[in-house]
Amino acid sequence: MKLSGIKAIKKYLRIYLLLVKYSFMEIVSYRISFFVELAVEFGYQGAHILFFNVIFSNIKELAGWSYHEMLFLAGINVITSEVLLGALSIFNLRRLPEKIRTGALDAIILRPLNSLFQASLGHPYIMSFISTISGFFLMFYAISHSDLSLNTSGVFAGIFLLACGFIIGFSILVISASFSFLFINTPSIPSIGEHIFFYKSNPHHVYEGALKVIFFYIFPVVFVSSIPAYTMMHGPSGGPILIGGILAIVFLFAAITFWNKMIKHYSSASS
Amino acid sequence: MKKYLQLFKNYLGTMLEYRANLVGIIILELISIGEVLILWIAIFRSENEIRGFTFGATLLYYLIVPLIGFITQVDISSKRSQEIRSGELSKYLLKPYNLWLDSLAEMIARKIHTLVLILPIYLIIIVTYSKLLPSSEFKFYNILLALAFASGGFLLHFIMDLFISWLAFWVTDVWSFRHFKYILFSVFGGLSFPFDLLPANIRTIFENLPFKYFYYVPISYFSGSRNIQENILSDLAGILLWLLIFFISGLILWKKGIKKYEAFGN
Repeated sequence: MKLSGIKAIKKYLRIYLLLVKYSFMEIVSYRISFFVELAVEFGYQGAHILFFNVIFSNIKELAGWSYHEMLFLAGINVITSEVLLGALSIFNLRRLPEKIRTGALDAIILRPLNSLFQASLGHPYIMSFISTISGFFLMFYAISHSDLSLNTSGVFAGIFLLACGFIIGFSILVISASFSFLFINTPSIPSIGEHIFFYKSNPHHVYEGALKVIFFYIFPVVFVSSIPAYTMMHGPSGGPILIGGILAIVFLFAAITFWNKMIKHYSSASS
Repeated sequence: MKKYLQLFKNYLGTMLEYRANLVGIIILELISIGEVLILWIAIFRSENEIRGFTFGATLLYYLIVPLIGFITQVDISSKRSQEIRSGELSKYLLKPYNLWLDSLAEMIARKIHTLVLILPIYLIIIVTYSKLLPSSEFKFYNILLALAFASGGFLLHFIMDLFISWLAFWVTDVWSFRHFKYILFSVFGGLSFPFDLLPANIRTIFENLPFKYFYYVPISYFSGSRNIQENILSDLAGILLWLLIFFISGLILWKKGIKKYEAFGN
């Protein structure tokens, strides 16, 4: 019997919570690794902030964004990177080429669960989720040390845009990784999506002319961090909300369709 | 020596199976450069120069970053640590050759495979670009010096990565240590920004760490921004000292680790 939409969502949500629980148990069972990994995650963010501090020790603003606005953006960047890469990439899509090459994808295909769900979300990296704390801290620090103020409508609109951004980010990573079914022995393919995804780190005002078309519509990564951050700080505006919503739907549809098409190219290594 | 040459040939043959991956790596590098360049273009819209760094010089710096990275990047610790964990290391211990030299043969094979394709393309891009810049003119000995320091950086990185590999005798996964290494490279190596942008007191700290040999030193020799007479002896002494420190530390770890090794699953 086919499950109805809500029942299916509930089922996958329950499975995902179990996966998160097992991943957490796995990671805390090795204490030294746990603390080192935690230090590494915070180190990454420290490096990013140091980079901005070095730049802002020499300039006053970047494409109209002040230091504290950039810090707020850096906070949102930390959250979106950690959540998306931790949930989708590190233990999942990055390993797709290897699973295809060795035939390990068989196990995913044979289970009575959606293949895309398993390949993209099957093994969450919990440390990434824990590391989002520093992103929230950065946002709080930026707000409390400047004259920036958040208004309720801006925050709600920003959260909506963040959700759209997560869907867009998910779709870009899935589409990129799906090419692994065509190009065997090319482990760098999933990383191409990740590298495009990192263009989200720049404030969207740096993209002008052709670059604006590319990063607003073709690879709309500006909706992952910069536009939500700007909306939270400066209030909502109709255009980005509408465009963000439409792009999220279009990209999600494209990613699912593309995955289903590409997975047909898979032939198990052992058969 | 003959057996290591054979190992090198075998590894090179394996690498050739991954030709398409090389194209992927080049695309990744181009995407990375693009991201940084867009940021700097935005910065230089309102500034003519930053601490003496013009837009052209900054652009050149980030163009050379991937070229030097292709030489100095090493990743042997993921493979070796996995072998220690799974007990697969035993098969190497039984063979009549030195595991350190086997690892070196593999890394050199990987390097040559990558560089044969990338080096000529990159040199053409950079030299063409430098012709467009009135202030920068490459000198042959600068390029040679940069390549020599990059090769030294490769060797230092290799020894450092083996050191990380041997940590797997004690910890379950060295994955996080490898990532920690990339953070250090990114900040202290000059991957994220040239040291010239740093205040003098902080720069002194950066100059005394080993990571500068992976990016900053070779790049600044390449672009001619590092005074050769003032720095070459201290740079040379520095890299040799760090090589010695990591080699001895790695050797101690290896000797202690191999006594502790239990060859799980074998």
